[in-house]
Amino acid sequence: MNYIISPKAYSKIILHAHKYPFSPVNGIILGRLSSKDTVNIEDVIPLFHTHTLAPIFEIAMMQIEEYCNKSEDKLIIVGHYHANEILDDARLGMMTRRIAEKLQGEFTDACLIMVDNTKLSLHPKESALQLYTRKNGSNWEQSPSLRFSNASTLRLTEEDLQNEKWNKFVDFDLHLDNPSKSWLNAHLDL
Amino acid sequence: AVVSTQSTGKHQTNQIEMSSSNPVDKVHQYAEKAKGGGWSAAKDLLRYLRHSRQRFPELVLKYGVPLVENYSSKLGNEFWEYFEMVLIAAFDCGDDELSEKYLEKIRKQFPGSLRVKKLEGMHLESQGKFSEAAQQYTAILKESPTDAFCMKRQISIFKAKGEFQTAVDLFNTYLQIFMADVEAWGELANLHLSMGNYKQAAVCYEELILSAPQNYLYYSKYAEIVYTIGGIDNFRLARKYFSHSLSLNDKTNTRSLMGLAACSYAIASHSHKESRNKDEGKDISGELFGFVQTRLEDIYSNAEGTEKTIFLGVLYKMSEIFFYVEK
Repeated sequence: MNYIISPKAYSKIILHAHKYPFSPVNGIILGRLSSKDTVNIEDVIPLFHTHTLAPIFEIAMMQIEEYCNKSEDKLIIVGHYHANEILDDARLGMMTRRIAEKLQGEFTDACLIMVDNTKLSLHPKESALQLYTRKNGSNWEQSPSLRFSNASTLRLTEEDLQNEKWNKFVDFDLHLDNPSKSWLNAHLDL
Repeated sequence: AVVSTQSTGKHQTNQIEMSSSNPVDKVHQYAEKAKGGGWSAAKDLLRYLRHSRQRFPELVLKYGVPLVENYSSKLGNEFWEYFEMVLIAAFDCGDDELSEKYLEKIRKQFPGSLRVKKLEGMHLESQGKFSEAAQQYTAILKESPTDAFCMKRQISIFKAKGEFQTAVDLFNTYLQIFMADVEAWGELANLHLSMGNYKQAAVCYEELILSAPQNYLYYSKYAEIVYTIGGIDNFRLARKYFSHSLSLNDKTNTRSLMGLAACSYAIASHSHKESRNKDEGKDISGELFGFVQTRLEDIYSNAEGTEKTIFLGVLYKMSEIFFYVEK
């Protein structure tokens, strides 16, 4: 299975990590199965910059599912992304794996994307994302099958970083502190 | 601790005094003012950051460096406090050049000072030189064995290296001595959460609640943690704690409203499946859910269109579970 990520989705994950350099961050990946061996990652919904806890996670998931059902683009949930708190920590936490496994219950090719914090930069030269896939209930394994849909992705992300778009970036945690802030982040114009 | 639920009929509003905007928004307000220029606005921003103990080192550098370099006379005898704050922000941002420059200045001003030795330790940490930093703190602790700051820095080093279990063990030793250190309980709770040790994280929050029984945030977080552990008894416990959190703050506590919705729904689903305590699903949980739904509809009336539709749609679907629980 190949995974192709849009500039918008890539940028949002990076902005989320940049906004909260001292915390773990995570979110849900949206996209569609565009052919029998390709998943197109179109967008992400950023969830938390705290350690994920069940009640708010469940409510957030219900809202994301509702959003997908109502979306004109026919998006579905295709995975979960996570950045660890510690710089060079590449471990897959238990909650992170559990969430991704649960998503596979709805979409068998749901993936897990970990942010490699050591590759985060205001002048990105390479992708900071590492794809993990899991087949038939085995372990999550690193996979090289994640590509950009657009060759200018890193340059576009660099622009977003230069414009300090993380300032207006909203995740679900932030939305709960201030419900007038939108976790759909349409205002960022990505 | 047994916490009483608030009856939904007569909702008590035990309001603690809450400011109109939350602390993070306030930082951005102060930063906007500082952008307009002027040493006074820069000083206000730094002072607010220090009092509210929020971590925005990039802002401290941006507005603090011009402040301490050009307006030292305006800061009077507070100068070195602000200078130290900017130095620590330089460590936090990994600005080695600035760190060395400012450290040199502060060394000259306070030769042989223990406080400066601690700053040296933090500088080593910021460079990732963890062994040297640990040695620095050990040396200080030889001179000053009850230095809590150095003990906590040593724990942080283990956390930074990813050796979480060692950090937890050291924390437990530390907290036996300094059991009133609220910051430490909070940090230990986070460490446990990152390791998936929900029961131990809950114990930390019990200590935090005891230390500050008027703080609505501690009850809310505790409820989230016990709900995560799961099971009908924990859903009921979480429901009590979310409710108590709301009795302390029902104006800016959306998390607890959502948590209470989740609890009511989880309990009703559980009752529905098990065919036991059916009344519970309909009565208490149903009433609480109704209360929550009303409050959330109120809050979301000001929200952006799409999210409002989504959220109210979700609430409506959830509420259906209460219609079908039969007597």
